[in-house]
Amino acid sequence: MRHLTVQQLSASLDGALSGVSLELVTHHLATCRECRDRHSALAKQDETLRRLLAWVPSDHELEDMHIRLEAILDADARGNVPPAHAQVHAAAPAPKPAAPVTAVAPVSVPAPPPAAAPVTKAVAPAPKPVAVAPPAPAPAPVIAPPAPAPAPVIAAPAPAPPPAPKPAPAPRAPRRPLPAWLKRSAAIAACVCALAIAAMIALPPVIRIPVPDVPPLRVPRVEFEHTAASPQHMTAPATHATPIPVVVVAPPETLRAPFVLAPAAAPKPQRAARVAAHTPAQAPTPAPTPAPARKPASESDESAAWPLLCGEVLDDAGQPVAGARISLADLDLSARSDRKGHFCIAAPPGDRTLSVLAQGFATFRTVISLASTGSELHVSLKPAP
Amino acid sequence: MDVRSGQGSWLEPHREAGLVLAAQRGETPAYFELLRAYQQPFWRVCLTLTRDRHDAEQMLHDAARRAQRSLRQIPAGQPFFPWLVRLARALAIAQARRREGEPAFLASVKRPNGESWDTGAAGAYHMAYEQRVLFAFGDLSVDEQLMLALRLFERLPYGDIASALELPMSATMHRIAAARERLEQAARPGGKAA
Repeated sequence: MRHLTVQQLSASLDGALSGVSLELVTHHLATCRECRDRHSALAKQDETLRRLLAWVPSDHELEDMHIRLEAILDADARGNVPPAHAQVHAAAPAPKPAAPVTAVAPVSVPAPPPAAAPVTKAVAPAPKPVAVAPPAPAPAPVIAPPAPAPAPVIAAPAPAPPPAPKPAPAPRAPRRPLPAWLKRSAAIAACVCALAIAAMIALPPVIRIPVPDVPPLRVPRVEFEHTAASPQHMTAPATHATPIPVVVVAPPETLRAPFVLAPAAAPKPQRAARVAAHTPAQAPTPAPTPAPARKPASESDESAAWPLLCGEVLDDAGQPVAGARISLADLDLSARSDRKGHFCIAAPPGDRTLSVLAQGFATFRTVISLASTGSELHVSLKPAP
Repeated sequence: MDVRSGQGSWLEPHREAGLVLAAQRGETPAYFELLRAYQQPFWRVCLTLTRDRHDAEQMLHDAARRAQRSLRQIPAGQPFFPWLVRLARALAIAQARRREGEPAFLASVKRPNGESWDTGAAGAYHMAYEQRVLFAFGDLSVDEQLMLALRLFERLPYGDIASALELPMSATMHRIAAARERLEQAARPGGKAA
C-alpha cells in the first residue's frame, strides 16, 4: 500500500488541499492507520510548537515592553546611549512598579555627615525602576528631588535650605562610537574626494603629453599625369596648364584626406605634362592624431619657393624617351619622363648631381646649378654599350 | 499580507500605508503606532527565532531600531510586517552565524516563556517531548523556523509566507513539509534530539 507523503500530510494539516487531492487524502487517512498515526503525530507536534512558541506576555507586560522600546528609540533619536537591556530584563517579570519617579525618593535622604559624598554614591543604592520609568521626564532625579524635599543631596551641609535648584538638563550621554569599518570607509571616501578636488583644481584644462622624437618620415612621391584622352583626371581643370606642386602634409599612413594643391609660379606652364613633387624629407610631423588635410600657409609658401627643373629626355635620334628616371641623388628626389620625354622636378636651388637612367640607354650624369627661378634641361641619352 | 490570522491587531492596508509614509517622513508617533499594531505577531516571530523571552525582547528592540534607521527602504505600497520579519530574519541569521559551533545540549533547553518545566508525575513525559521538539526546532534553518511560525502561529497561507520571505511558493510548501518531517524524526524518543 502506498502511504501519503509528508507533503500531503503537511498540506492536509494546513488545510491547503481541495478537490480530488482532499478526497484522496481523507479516504487514505480513513483506511490507513499508519498514515493516520503519523498525521496525528504531526498535529501534536504543531500543537506543541504553538503552546511553547506562540506564547505572548500579558497585555501589561507588552505595554511595558512597548514603553521600554519607545524609550530606546527616543534615546536613539537623540543620539544617547539607550538604556541597558540587562537591567530591563532583570526587572521584566516584576509587575509594573508604582510611581517609578517617586520611587527614587530614597536618594534624597540626607546623606551622613561627610555629606559631600559624590552624588553617584548616593545614587548607587537606587532601585532599578529608574530604567523602567517612562522616558519623557528623563530624570536626573538625584539633582532634582521633589520640591518639598528639605535637603537635596548636593546641598546637605548647608545650614539653611537653599532654594530648590533648577532642574538641570539630563547629562547627555556620550555618543556610541562608530564601528571601525564605518570609520575606515569614511576615511577612504574623504581621501578620494580630496584627491578628485585637488586634481580638478591643479590640472590645466589641456594636458600636453610629450611625444618622443619621431624618426624622419619618407613621404611617398605623388605623381599626377595629364593625358590628352583623360583631362578629367585632374580635379581642377582650370589649372591644367599650370604645373602643380603637390604638398603632402601628412605622413603616409595618415594619407586619407585630399591633398592641397597649390599653383606654383612655373616658368613654362604649358609644359607641365608630368609633375612630381616631394615634401622635404624632414617635414615636421604633425601630432599623432589624423593629420590635417590642409596645409598651413607658411609651409605652402616655402614649397612654392622651390624652383622647378623641367626638361626633356631624348635619344640619339631626337625621339623622346619615356619612362626615364631622373633623379637628384644628393636630395633623394626623382621623377620619370612621360611619353613625350618631358619631366619636371622641384628641388631647392643649388648645385645638384642629376642622373638619368633609362632602359637600353647609358646612364647620364651631370652636375647642374638650380636657379631660384627654375631651370630647363635637355638630356640626350646614348644607347647602352 | 492576508489578515486572516485573527491573532493580534492588524492594520487596514490604507491605514498602514499612511502610517508607513508618515514614519518615513520622520514622524515618530506613526512609527510607534506601527510597532504597537504589530507587536504581538512580531513578538511571536522573535520568540520563535530565539526561544527565550529575554532574547526575544532584545531581538525585538534591535529589529525595531534597525527598522527605524532604514524605514526609507520600504518600497511604496509594500506592507510593513513582512519587511519587519525579514529584518528579524537577517538578525537571526547573523546571530546563528555567531553561535555556529557552540555546543547545544538537550538538557539545557528551557521553556521559552521562562517558566519551569512541569516535572510532575504526568509532566515528565511531556517535558521530555517538548524539550526534544524545541531542541529539534532550534536545529532547523532560520527560514524554516520562520515559515513554521508564520504558518502555525499567524496562520498565513503559503502564498503570503512565500512573499514575506521572498521565496517561491512551491519551495515554501516543500520546505514547510520537510521541516515538519525533520522535527518529527528528531523528536521521536530515539531520534536525533534524544
